Amino acid sequence: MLHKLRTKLKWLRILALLVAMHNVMLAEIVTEARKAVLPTLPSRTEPRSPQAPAAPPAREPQPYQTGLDKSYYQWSNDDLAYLMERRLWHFSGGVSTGWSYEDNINLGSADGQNKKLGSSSFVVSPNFALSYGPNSWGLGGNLSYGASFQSFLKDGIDDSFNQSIGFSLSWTGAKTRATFSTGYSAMDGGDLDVGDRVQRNVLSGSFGLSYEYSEKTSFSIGYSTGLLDYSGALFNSDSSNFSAAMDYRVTAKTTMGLGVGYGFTRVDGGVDYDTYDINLRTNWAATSRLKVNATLGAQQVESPGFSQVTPVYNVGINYDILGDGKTSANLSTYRSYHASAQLRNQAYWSNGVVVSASRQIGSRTQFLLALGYEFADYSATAAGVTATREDSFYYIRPQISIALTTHAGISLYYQYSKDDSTGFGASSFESNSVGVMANLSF
Amino acid sequence: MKPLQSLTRSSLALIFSLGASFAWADELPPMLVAVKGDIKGAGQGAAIPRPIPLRAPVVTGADSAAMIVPFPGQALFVDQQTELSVESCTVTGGSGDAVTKSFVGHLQKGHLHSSIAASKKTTSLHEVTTPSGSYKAHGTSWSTWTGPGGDKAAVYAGTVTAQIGGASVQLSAGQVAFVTGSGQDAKVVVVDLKTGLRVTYTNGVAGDSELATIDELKQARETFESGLAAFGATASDADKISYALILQQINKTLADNMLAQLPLTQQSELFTNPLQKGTTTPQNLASPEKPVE
Repeated sequence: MLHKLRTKLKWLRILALLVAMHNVMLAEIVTEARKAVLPTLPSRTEPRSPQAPAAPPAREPQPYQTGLDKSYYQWSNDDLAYLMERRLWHFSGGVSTGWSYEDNINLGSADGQNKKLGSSSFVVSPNFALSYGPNSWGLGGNLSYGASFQSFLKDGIDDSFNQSIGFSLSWTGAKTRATFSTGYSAMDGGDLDVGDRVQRNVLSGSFGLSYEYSEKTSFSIGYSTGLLDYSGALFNSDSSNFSAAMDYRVTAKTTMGLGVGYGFTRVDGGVDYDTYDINLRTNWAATSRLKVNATLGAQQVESPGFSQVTPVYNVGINYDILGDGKTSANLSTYRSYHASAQLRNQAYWSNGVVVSASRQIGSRTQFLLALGYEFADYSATAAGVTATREDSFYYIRPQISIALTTHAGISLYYQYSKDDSTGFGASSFESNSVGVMANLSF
Repeated sequence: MKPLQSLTRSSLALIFSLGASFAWADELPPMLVAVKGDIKGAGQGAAIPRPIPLRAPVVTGADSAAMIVPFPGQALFVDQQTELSVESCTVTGGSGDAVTKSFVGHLQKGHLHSSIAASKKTTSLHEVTTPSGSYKAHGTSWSTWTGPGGDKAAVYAGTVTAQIGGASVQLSAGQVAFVTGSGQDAKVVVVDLKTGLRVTYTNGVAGDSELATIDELKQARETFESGLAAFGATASDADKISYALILQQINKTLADNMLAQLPLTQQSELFTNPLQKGTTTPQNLASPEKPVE
């Protein structure tokens, strides 16, 4: 116990050091931004207008207010100097800290080999985002980092440290738009496919390019890649996907598009496979409150000695419940294909539906409720392999966040989740987690 | 699309008056105007009659800038890219001092940013009249206005009521309105950055909700973003917090259309999802690297 307390104190000292470093760096960033973009008005030497009243005496420069920009105005004899600092760089950051309790950290079950482990914990999650703009036209960029340190109070449970970093660029031209993003995450939480808490690293990247051929017609291409690296005797994989599409504005309320795609997945220690996609997609403004976007198509999965064609889809429905923009509901349903990290030469079809609702209460409070269900149907990716595992996973997640001030708030959340898993490699579990977090922004 | 054309001309016809139905303080900071490129002051401490008289028509030079700050340093000046015609601006309230101190106007690059923080003790109203109509904001809200090549209004928090061509258009946070024409011929296109939808008002009648075009979303984003600086500099705490609540929706719309997202604010950190921050909760099977939602 004493060792744990010492460890926590050490982390708190590191956190305080990081915050101090941030403040120094932020001051430098702001100073440099001022030097770079601070405009000044030219001196006004023309005679004053006859009706102009006498100018007031000179004053010291007065900072207007702080915020995204900072303005100054100053009288100097007859001239008014107005200095508007336009920041191209925007920084936001915060720290969330609090307490949580999970009764099944490792996704175990009472009757399985993987026994349930529950514990309360203290959590510290610093994060920041640095963006470059204004970027309505031209180049924009964003760099973000987040970490989460979770110290479990129960002996025998390893503390958790997760972190992720992301970088994205966008370019907007008269007819062309381009995006690029890449990210890295290191996580050691529960993984449904594996059925346990596991350390994994995720590296991802994507690129997209869109061209407006006319007011009604646009073309786009895309590329995405992902690398999943697990610790232990699991099957790492990497995948790449290429896509191309054409969209046409059929009416003022509807766009339709046709897309094709190709992807390949390489599995360490397993059989690789390729995917071929063709799909129709639409974007439909049904009413002032209801908007629908959908992609429906077919996918062929091919590996040596194995071929399968199945439907794939991704449908999203957004509904403004009360028409005031403060209460919204979203429904999304999807079907997609993923390599299994636990079962050799197997992959699974994810068939899921998520319903979420959010309500803004006053100007300071947000309530969220999410319910999700997913059915995972495992299938073989190589000849001679029999896949029998099926998972039915569902969850409910209410959460409320309240901003107490502009720099401090509080969040309360609860999540119940359950996975009924059958077949070879099955891993059922049931878990509850609840927590209260203090959110600080800077 | 005409109302969406950028305003880059250097000439300006500015008519601005600030009237008040409440008692002003005995000594006011100077009232400043831009005349043919020169900034003129009314003199520190000079008594300013009520309502403040128009100093118009005012034509500015190429490099003027403008800001309106009734308190503590009342000022009005116009920048080089401004092409604006505001016929009147009125702030009324039951208690003068409370309203006076809470109102901030900020003119930058053709946008008049107006903010008024409601006093809990009084009823306040902020109204700006342009050639195409008038805009009223009760309580706490934020907007930007431009003209005369077409008015624009962007709302960051609260609700603004626009009276244009006999129609009453309610503009909510996250919406950008583009106005062309005046009177019965006025046409209003309201683009909602939260949803990517648009509604067109013609002759005072609202049309169906439609998908906004990429060009409209670009222009709406540009208009909205150009007012963020002044919003961040002058908005009340409540407005900043409520803006953080809609920012995620706006950025989702922009990302769906491959447009650059708006920068997060400090207040965005107050509404993050702790279950997505940490990754110790179960991930969905479909994409372990991307938690559900």
